[in-house]
Amino acid sequence: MERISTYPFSAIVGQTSVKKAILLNLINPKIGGILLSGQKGTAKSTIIRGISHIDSEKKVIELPLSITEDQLVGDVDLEKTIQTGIKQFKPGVLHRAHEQILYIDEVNLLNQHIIKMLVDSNSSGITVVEREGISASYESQFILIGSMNPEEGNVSPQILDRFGLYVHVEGEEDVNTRVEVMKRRLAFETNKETFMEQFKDESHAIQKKVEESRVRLASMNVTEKMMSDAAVIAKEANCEGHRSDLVLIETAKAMAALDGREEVKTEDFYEAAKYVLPHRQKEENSSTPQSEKNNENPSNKAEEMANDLDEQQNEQAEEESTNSEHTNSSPLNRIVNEGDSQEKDSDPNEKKPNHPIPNEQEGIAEIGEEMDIKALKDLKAFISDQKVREGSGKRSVARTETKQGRYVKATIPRGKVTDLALAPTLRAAAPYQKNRTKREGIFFTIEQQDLRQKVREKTIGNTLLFLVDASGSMGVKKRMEAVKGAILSLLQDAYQKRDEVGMIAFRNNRADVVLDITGSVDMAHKQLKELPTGGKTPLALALVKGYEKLNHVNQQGSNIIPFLILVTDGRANEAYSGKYPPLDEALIIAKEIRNENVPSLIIDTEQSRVPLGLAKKLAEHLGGMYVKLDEMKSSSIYEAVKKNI
Amino acid sequence: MKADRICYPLTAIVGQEKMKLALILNSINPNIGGVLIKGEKGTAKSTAVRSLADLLKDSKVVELPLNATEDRVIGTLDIEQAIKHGEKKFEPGILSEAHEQILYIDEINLLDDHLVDVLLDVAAMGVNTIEREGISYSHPSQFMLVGTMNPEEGDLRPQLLDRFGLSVEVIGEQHLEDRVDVIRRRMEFEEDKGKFQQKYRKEQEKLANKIKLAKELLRDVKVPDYIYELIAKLSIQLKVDGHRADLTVLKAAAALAVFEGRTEILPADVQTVAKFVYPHRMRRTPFQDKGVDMTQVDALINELEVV
Repeated sequence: MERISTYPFSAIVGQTSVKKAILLNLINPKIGGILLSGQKGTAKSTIIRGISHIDSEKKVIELPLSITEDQLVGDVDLEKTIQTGIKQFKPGVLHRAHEQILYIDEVNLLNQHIIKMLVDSNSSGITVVEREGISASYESQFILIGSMNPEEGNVSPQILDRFGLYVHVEGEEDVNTRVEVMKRRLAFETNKETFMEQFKDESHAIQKKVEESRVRLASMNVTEKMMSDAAVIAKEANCEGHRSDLVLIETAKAMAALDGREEVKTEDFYEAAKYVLPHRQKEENSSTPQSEKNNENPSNKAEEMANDLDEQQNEQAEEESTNSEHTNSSPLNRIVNEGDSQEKDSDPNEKKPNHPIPNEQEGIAEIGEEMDIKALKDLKAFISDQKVREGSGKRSVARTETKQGRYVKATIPRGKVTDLALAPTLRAAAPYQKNRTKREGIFFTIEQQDLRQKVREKTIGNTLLFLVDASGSMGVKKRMEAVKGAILSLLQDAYQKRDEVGMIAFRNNRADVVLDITGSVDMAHKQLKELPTGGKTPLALALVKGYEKLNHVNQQGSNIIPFLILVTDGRANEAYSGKYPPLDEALIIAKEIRNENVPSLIIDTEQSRVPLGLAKKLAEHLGGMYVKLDEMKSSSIYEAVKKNI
Repeated sequence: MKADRICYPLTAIVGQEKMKLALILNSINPNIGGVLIKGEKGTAKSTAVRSLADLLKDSKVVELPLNATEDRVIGTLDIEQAIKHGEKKFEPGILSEAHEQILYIDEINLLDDHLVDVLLDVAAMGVNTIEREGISYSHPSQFMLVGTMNPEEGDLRPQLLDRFGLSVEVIGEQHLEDRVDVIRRRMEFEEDKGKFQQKYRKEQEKLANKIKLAKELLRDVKVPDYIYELIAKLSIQLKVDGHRADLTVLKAAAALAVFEGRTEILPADVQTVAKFVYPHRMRRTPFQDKGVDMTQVDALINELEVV
């Protein structure tokens, strides 16, 4: 393969935090790697690939997302095993990565199983292989660097914690800096050799600095003061576990060494905290560092701490107390004590008593404020699906029996082999080749027992069907705004997870499919925006329509998991068959849907001083999750969702 | 099994000027990063792509079908070699075939997630790295990515969106005369392809030549400082993510300048290509209204040009 010249590390304009994080890791590999998270096109991978310019000893090994398990840890060496008739082991990428830099671009898209194996090897420093009759182990300790764009989804908190440092990457906002970025890139693309030559001295200078810092680092001792500094900061930041304390110490040491010192100062810890804490802090609203708010927080916090630790402590304590309040009164509890919650939840700005149905007045409400919900952040949890399904999306990971999907590993087949895993099959047959009789012209004999089947995994999305009550009772302006806001939040999530969405709006005597099931969440948004309200509530009809739609989706052979989201106050007042009162009809149909095991979520939009609790009743009949619109803002919904599995 | 086919000439496509220009700019400078063509069915999208390859002669269209398996895309172990000789040999896939060619993906928004991941990996590195089936192998894979999509059928992942240098929206021709023209030419083509080709030969040669000349001029392009600044300011004002847009505008503007026989980039070049580069890159939640206001670009250019 021709060697591809990389853009020199020293020629990168700006991005000081990223560069610093890299230098710290090169000086002290004990820090445990870096996770770079940020916008597209911010030279994340260019910087990493440029490391070879400043550290001639370390190679940057890139891990492709399509890597299979056997290739990662190692497996039977085919050629050698055939020759000798004895199983020989050939170590995998993790062996090659030992004492090098292992780089994963789009780390948030890597198979969960693979990333778990990878971080485990790195933290123990040894890869242990027990597979296909092989026992082997080898050293594998590397600087793990991952980069990701949070728009594509997150990394689980457990994995996050394994990355020593975290840096949020953004583009440069200054005109001159941007101009310089363009000029240098263009110069590089025009003539790579000349360009690299220009930055050679600078690269050497950086390399020398790193080497000198390593020497300083080697002579450092960890003092009591350092340990207490680390513990105080980690505790203040409300970090889980103790890894952060240790990483703080290692990072602060490297900070000092980089700065030319052998003593670590408290300031080094504050500086280190900006890199060590962002992805480890337990936040009230979110445990992931991806939201911008969180990204800013930690560094601010580190600075604030420097200024006034006491104040910080108070703030933290306050936060904690809010936290506990939330957990104590989950929506489930509140549902039980419905009485008092209503008053508290109602919007203080809306003083007017909400008298029933302000009638047939028609109109279109604005889209209300989006909410930071957790309700559906992890639908995987409540649709744990073991069935083999087709589809493509991020919601659930499912084993697939089609040839589509990512090949993760091989297994001994149960029944007929439909998707032959060739390499594992050959490896299984290899030890016996010496003794197997060969026919003319055939070098290799494979027998039934050698066959291995590919295991493929595919992330599949859900079909979310929104049933939206657009009747007059919903028409109170603020109410509909809030409803639209809530739906929008769910759509945001659907977008990330690549769910399909559909929408049925019901009012008067109609339930219209305003959006057929589509992969375009944008379209759903457009329909939502234009949704008119007014008129009576044909709840039963809506449920029938919704059920028919989901059934239809399933019949089309799409194996995507359907999910019903009903947004209503439950005040049915338009009959479907006319045999029963409107509400009773709706409840009967709800029960039938329940019998079909359609998972559902009911968002109760009722808002009145004397709640009728109709939507809740409906939820019980549907066997679905129930949540009040006003409570969607609270993060504790997530807990409720989990409990409801 | 591959059938040779006579291509509909690029110059015979009625209208669709933006799409044609976007494709041509990419052929002048393949570093621009490809084109995403958004629009309804039956708007000559794939005809245009094939016609371009036909015109350029030195490149072919490698198609990645939606039903492709991962093995076929990135390459896999050569079964024959393995069984006959007990040797591991790499059998290259579509990504190898597409090196220095046009990689064409129809309905790219419907492509399976795991294939998109692979594409992202390769597009980012220009190298296809294989670690599977007992094979560790890598080969260069740099291609001009051309994708088409009908936005109503689903969105494209932002990360992949950003990999497309340019994007254009196509709609069917609205003027009756043009529509009739489309039909007339198509029928003429179907009737006698050879004759039709002959009819457009001169125009085709002229265009091919123009592109060739433009390619030669490209290295002589000078970028005045105020153009750099103009681009940087545009990107800042339009709040795009990262720096890829800046570089793409620069490269596309240079390609446009040389296509018109100039070696100096004018603000008008920037203005034209900005409308190809920015719309799919504006930092927005997926739900802000689609119609990106490109009058912003015009206003900015007018305002900044004074300087």
